[in-house]
Amino acid sequence: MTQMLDIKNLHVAIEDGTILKGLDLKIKPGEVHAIMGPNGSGKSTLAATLAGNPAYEVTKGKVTYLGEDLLALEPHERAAKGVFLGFQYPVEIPGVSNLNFLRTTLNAQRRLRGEEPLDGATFMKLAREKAEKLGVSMDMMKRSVNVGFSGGEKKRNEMVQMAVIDPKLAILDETDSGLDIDALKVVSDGINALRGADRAILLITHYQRLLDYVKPDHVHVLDDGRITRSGGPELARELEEKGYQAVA
Amino acid sequence: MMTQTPSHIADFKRAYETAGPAFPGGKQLGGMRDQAMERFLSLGLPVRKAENWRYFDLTPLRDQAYSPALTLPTATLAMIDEAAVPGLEAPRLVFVNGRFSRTLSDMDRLPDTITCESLHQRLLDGDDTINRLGLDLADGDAFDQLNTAMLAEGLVIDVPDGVKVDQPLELVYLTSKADGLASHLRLVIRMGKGAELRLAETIIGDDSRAFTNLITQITLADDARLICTRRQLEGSQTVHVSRNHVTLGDALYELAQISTGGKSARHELLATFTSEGGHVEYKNVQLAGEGQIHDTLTLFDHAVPQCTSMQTYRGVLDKGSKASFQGKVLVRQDAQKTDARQKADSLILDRSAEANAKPELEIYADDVQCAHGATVGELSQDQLFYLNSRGLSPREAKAVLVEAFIAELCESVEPEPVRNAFLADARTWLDRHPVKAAEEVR
Amino acid sequence: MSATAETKDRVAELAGAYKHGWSTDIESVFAPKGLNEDIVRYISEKQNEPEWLLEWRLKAFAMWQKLEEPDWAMLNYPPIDYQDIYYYAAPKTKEGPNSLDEVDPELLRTYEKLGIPIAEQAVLAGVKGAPKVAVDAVFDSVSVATTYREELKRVGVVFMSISEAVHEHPELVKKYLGTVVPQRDNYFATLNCAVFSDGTFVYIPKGVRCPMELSTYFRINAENTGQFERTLIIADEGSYVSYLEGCTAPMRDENQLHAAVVELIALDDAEIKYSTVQNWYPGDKDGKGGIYNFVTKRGLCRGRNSKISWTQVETGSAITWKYPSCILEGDGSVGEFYSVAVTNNRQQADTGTKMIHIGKNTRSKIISKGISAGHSSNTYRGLVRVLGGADDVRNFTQCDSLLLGDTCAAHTVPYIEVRNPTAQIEHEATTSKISDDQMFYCMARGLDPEEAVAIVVNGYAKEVLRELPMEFAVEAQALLGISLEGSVG
Repeated sequence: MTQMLDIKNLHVAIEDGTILKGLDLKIKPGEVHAIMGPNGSGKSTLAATLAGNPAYEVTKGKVTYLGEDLLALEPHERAAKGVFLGFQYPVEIPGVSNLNFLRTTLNAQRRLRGEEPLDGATFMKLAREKAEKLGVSMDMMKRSVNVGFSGGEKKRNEMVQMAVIDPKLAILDETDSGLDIDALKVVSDGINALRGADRAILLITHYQRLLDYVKPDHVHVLDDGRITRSGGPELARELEEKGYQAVA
Repeated sequence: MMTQTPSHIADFKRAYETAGPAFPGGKQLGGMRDQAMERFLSLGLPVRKAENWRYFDLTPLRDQAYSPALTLPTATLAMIDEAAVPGLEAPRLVFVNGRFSRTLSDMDRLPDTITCESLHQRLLDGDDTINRLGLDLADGDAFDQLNTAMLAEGLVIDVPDGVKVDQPLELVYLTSKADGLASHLRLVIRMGKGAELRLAETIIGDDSRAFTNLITQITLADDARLICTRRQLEGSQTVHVSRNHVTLGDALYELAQISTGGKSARHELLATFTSEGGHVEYKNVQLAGEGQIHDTLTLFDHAVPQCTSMQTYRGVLDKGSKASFQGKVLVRQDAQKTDARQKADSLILDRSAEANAKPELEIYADDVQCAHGATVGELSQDQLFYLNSRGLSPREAKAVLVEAFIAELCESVEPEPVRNAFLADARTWLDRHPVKAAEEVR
Repeated sequence: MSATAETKDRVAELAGAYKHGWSTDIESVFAPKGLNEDIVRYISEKQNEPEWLLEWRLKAFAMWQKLEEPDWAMLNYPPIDYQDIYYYAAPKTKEGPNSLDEVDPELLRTYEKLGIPIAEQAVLAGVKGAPKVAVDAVFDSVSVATTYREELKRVGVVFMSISEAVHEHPELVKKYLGTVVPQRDNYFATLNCAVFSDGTFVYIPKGVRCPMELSTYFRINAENTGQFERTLIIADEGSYVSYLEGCTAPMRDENQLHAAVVELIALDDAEIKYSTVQNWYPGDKDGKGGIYNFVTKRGLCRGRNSKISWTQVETGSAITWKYPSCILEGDGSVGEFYSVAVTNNRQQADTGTKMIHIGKNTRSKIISKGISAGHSSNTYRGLVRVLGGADDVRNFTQCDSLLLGDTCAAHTVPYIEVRNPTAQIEHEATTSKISDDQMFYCMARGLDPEEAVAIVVNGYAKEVLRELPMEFAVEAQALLGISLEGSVG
C-alpha cells in the first residue's frame, strides 16, 4: 500500500534553535500512530510543521503527503487537502461565532477543492449532529471561537471542528491534556469515529491514558528531535511504567 | 495681530534686565541667556488655543510681575524642619525663594561617591564643564526659554558609573514672604551606568503670590535607577510650573507625586526612551480645592523597541477647582514590543468643579501593547453599599472610599517616611475639604 | 452573496420610492468652476429658492470667507483650491469609458465581490450611455415605488429632497435648518450652508413609527449627486425612524471634495437611528485620487427621553474628517455612536464623535473600532462633555485600534470634560494586532491569508456591525474584507 504521509530526515528550527533533527515517519491510510515523548522532545514542533506554522522553519528533509510535497503548500491548502491539526492551545477569536467560523472554513476548503459550498440548512444539520455527539451545546457553538472556554471545552471544540471538516489526516496535539475522564471518553469516541480505511490519525501525547481509549497501531518515542524507538501499543505501556529516560 | 508687547511680557523682560547682570557665569552663559530671552519674548506665554494648554490658566502670570529674589533668603532651620519629610534620614539640599541656601543645606553630609553642587556655585566657579550640561533648551517652549534666560540657581547632581547611593537625598524648596518673586530653578541629574539614587522632594510655600518655574533635566545611562518622590504643597496663591525632561537608556525612572498646592499648578513629565529595556513609572495624585487649577501633562516618547511605561493619575476635585490630565504615549515605528499603559481616574466632590482627561495614544508600530483607561466619578456602588450596610452613613462611606482612592496610589511609595508624608498630606487635604454624600451634592 | 443581491433589490425599491425627490434637471446644468457670491445666487436661483434661503446662504458665504480651514486633525493633504471646484452639478465633464472593457478590472472585481449585477456595474463605473438605462431598469418597479410612497404618505411621513421640501414644507425647513449645526459651526459646514446643492428631508410626525427604513442608497452613487449634500431629519414626539445612508460602490474621481451636513432632531420620546456605510473611492495604492470627505453630522436630542444612534462603517475616502455627534439636551436622552473605520494604503481618517451631556439622566455609549493597514493613518477623536446641570450622566466609551503591519498608524485622542460630581464616565482604549497564532489557526482550518484577516477583523468589529440593519450588515462585512485586500503579505 502507498504511504499517506512520508516524512524523511526532517530537520526543523525555530528562532531559538533546532528542534527536530532528522525525523523519519511513515503513515499508511487506515493507521493510527501515536508519538510520545518527554516535554521539549519536539512533539508539538512536528505537529506545527506538518500543518505549516510559519514560525517553524524546515531546514532539511522532505514530507510527502498523498504523493505531493506537503512542505510546498500553504497552511490553508494543506487543510483543503485534508490535513487537520487539533491544537494543543486552541486560539481565541473574539466576535466570530463557532458556527460562523466553522462554516466559513469548511466552505473555504470546499471551494479550494472545487466543491460547491454547503448551504445553511445542510451545514446546521451537520454541525448540530456532530456537536451533540461531542457533548457541545448549540449555545456554545454560538459563542465566539474559544473565547472564555475552559481547557476541556476548547479541546472538545477542536473535535467538533474535526468531525465537521472530516479530514483525511488528523494530527492531534495533546488533545487529551486538560480533560477529565468523562471528557476524555467523549473525545476518544470522536477520534475513533474518524477511523477509517482511507484516513489516518497521528496522536501526539505525553501520557498513555488516551491510548487506553484510542488504540494505536504504532507507537513511537520521540526524543531530542528524533524517533528513537517504534513499536506496537505495548510500547506505550512500557513508557508509562518505566519512564522516558529508561526506554529512550 | 499683536503689535504691542503685552505688559506681562514687558515685566519679564524688565525682570531679566534688572536681575540678569547679577547672574553668575555671565561670561560663558550671557549669550545663551540673551538668546533664550529673545525667544521667550517672541513666543510669549502659551495661549489657551494651544492644545497642550487648553485646560490651564496663566492669568496670574499675566496679572502681575515676578522677578528673581535679589537678596539671599532668611528662612530658619525650624521652617525647613517643618517642611521636610518627617523622620526621613537624608542629607538636605534647600532652596528658599528660588535661591540655594548653603547654610540650611547639609553639604557636609552628602555621600562622597557623588558630585552634588549648587548650579549657582558651579557658575561662579566659572568651570568650562558648564557648557556640557546641556542647559540650553533652544527648541523648548516659553517656560523653557524663560527658565534658561533666568538661569542662575539649581543643582547639578552626578552619580558616577556603578555608584549606588543607599541613603536618599532630600530636596526642600520653600517659598516664604515672596510676593512677586519668581523661582527659576534648573536641576541637572546625570545617572551613570548602573548608578542608583533616590530623591525626595518637597516643594512648599505660604500664601505668597509667587511663581515657581522648575525644570529638571535627567539622563539615565543603562542599568541606572532613579527613584523620585515629590510633594508639591505650594501656597494657594502661587503659580507653579514644573517640568521633568527625562532621557533614559536601559534604565528605570520612577516618579511618585502628590500635589495639593498652587493657584495654577502644572506638572509635566516628558520622557524619551533611547535604548531597549527602559521603564518609566509615573504616579500622580492631584488634589485640588477652591480656586485651584491643576494640570498634569505627560509625553512618553517610545522611540526604541521593548520599553515599558506605566502612568497612573488620580485627581480629587473639590468645589471651584479644575484638574486635568493630558497624557500622551507616542510609539514610533521602530518601537515594537512597547508596553505602555495609562490610567487616569478623577473624583469630583462638588458641582462647581471640573475634571478633564485626555489620554492620548499615537502609534506607528503594530506589535505593541498600549492601553489607557479613564474614569470620572467611578466610586464603586457596591463598595458604598457594603460600607452603608456595615453602619457607615452615606457621607462616611464616601469619605472612606475617597481616602482609599488616594491612599491606594500612595501605598506603594518608598521609603516609608515619604509614604507616611504622602498619606498625611492627603489627610490634611481631606480635613480641609470634607467629602459630601452623593445626595448632598445634588 | 445572495443576501447582498436581495439587499440590492430592496434598496433599489426604496430608492425608487423617492425618485421624484430629485430635481431632475440638475444633470443638464453646470455652473462655472469657482466660488463667489454670484455662484451662490446661481445655485439658489436654479433651485427656485425663496428669498430667505438665499439670504441664509449669502450670510454663510460671508462667514466662510472669514473662516480658516481647520488644521487640528491628524490629516495630511495638499491645500484644497476652493476656486478649482464645481459647486453646482458634479464635475462629470470628463469622458467616461465606452464599455465595461475599458474599466479598470480591479474596480470591476470589487463590484463583483460586492455582488453588484453587471448592469449596475456599468452605472457605477460611469460607462457612457449606461446610466439612464440601467438606473431606469433598476428603478423600473414603479408600482412598487408608488406603493411605498403611498404607504409613507398615509402615515404622514415626509421623505423628499430638501429642495422640494423648501417649497412644500417651508415652515419645517425654516424652523429647523441650521439649528443643530449652526451656520458658523466650522469651515466645511459653513461652506455647505452657502453652496449645498441638494439632499434629503425627512419628517416623522408625532407618534409615528416609520414603516420602513429610509435610504439614500443610490442617491449618492447617481451621477448627478452634488458634492455638498444636506440632510435634515426631524422625528417629532414619540416617533421612530431608521435611516440608511450608503455608498457601497466607489467612484473614480480625483480628490473630489465632499462637505456634507447632516442635522438630526429628536423631540420627546423620539428615536432616530442613522446608519452609514461609506465606501467612497479611497484613491489608489499610492494615494493618488480619492475623495476628501469633510462631513459634519450632528444630532440634537431635544426632547425628554429621546434617542439618537449613529452607526458608521467607514472604509472609503482618501481623507475622512467626520464626527457624528449627539447633543443630549432633553432629560433622559440617549446618544450612541458605533463606528468601524478602516484605512488601507494611503488613506487617512480622523473620525469619532462628541457626546455633549446637557440634560439630566442622559446616557451615551461610544464603541469605536479602528483598523489600519498599509501606509494609512487612522485616528479616533472623541469628546465626552458633561455640563454642570447634567446630573446622573452615564457614559461608556470603548475605542480599540487594530494595526495590520508596521507601516500604518493608529491614534486615539479622547477628551473627557466633566463639570458634575454625579457623572459616571468610563473610557477604555486598547491597541492590538492580529496575532500570528490567530492567523495560523484560521489558515490551518482552510482560510487563505486574506480570508483569515477578514474573519478576524469582522469578529473584532462585530459589536458595531450588529448595530447595522440586516441589509447593510452583510455588505459591510464583505466590504471590510475587500478594503483590507493586499494588507497581508
